[in-house]
Amino acid sequence: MLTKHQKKIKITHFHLNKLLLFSFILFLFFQVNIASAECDWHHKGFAPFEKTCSQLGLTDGTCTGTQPTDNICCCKPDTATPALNTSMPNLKIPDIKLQVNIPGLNLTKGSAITCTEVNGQKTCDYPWIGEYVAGIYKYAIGIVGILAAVVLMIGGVMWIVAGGNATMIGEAKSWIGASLTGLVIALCSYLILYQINPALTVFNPLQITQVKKIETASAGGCSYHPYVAGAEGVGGQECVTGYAKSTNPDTDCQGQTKTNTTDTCCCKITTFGGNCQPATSGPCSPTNLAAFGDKATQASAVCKGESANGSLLESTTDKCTDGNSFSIGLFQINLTVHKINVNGYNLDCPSAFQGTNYNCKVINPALYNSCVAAAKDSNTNIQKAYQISNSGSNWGPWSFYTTNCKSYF
Amino acid sequence: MKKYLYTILIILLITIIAFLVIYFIKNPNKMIISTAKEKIKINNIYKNSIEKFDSGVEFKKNPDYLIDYYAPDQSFIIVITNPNIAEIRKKAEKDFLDTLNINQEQACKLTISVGVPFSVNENAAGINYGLSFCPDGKPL
Repeated sequence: MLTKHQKKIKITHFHLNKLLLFSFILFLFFQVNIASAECDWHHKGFAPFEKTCSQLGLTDGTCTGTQPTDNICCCKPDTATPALNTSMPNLKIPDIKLQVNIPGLNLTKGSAITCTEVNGQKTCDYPWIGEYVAGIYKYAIGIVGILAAVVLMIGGVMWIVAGGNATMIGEAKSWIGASLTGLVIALCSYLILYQINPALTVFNPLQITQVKKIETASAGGCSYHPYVAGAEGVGGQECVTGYAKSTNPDTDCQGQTKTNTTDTCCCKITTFGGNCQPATSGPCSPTNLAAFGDKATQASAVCKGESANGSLLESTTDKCTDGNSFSIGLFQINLTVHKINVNGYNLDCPSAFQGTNYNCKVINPALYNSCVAAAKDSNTNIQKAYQISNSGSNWGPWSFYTTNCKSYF
Repeated sequence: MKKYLYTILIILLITIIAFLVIYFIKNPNKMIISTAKEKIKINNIYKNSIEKFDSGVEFKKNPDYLIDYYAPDQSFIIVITNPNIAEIRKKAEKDFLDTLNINQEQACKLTISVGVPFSVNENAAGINYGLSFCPDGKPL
């Protein structure tokens, strides 16, 4: 038997519960209204933790009505679709097809992706990850609802079959309570996150800037060129002057893509093997010629052309009258005209010869052998080339490359 | 008694493993080249090298071509020094495979530069031809 005082407390508790539930519903209603408004007053917090609209994931705006204390007017970010600049290069964004579909999820079509162009850089907003997460959330909410209903029914059945057993009824109540609590938490997760930080509920699209197309020459200095009607070119009318239409586009322009179907694979006309590209590996690679700084690519092209990466190469054609090679190593340093510095000691290589270039004759074999050995050392050879070319700024002795590899010099 | 037997067995096992490790890793006749996809075991080119240089070794040299190994990027270099480029290329490729004791498929996974110096043929110079039997090999 309950005493009067106990009854009063129980009634007060009952009313208090009802009051709390009512307040909570009101709170939800209020929050939903806030969330759905475009511009409204938002509580900015208290000093020194006051927040601006941008910190709330919103933008500054103008609101009607009286400004409540400690509130600021913020609007939802403008989602208006900017017009696509038609001058931008063609970019076909494909539609995303999920391997496992999520019911109710419709990802934005590729054609509806918005792009903007600033200073020639094209940036597109890709909302797919946010949409995917939102889709999973919605689907999960559905599953949670079904689970809650099942748990609720289990609780109900337990209550029915309890037959007045207080322990079982208590158990049933806890099942029902857990079901309802879980359902409320799941349904209110959005509002809870919104209260913590509104930015948590906003899925900003990924902004990806399109990589700027840089024309690169492939094997043989070939690349796809836009069709030029009537342009003078060797081997065809499709390439501009200085370029020839490739007779084997599949190989010459391998790995490159056409911007338009009418693009033609054109190769730079040059007498130098048709290729002035730097080495991609070996001692002539730009990495190994980093000492040349921003001229490393040029140095690499010269090195590759001169020695084909052969550190120990003794020229088979640049020979003295006695058959000794005078062009040695990576840059084919001419020993009849250049001294070589090795560990601070200057080898006077020209004095090992009588005469210069093809008219030379070795008169000091010991010095000649020392010079050849020094020139075969890749570091010494590179150092000498660096010195002769004035840090890569004057390729005088290798002028052939500056004439024939204009794309790099 | 059983305890001792187990101890002896474990010691034997460790010894066998140690021998195997030494044989496969420290085999002086073999060396391993790491490529992007796998490790390729080749004959030790340092063992019968012709001339060593600061960052590699020349392991084949004749009037027609020379073949180097450049250690910093584990690449191989075939320099054709005979104007009869197409024929010498095939000869050098065969010699390369035989010296390294690898097959064509393995060779295509290695970083190889096949080139002609300017002094041999200025029109053919400056190009990395690759190995003729590999997908990236360029025709001559």
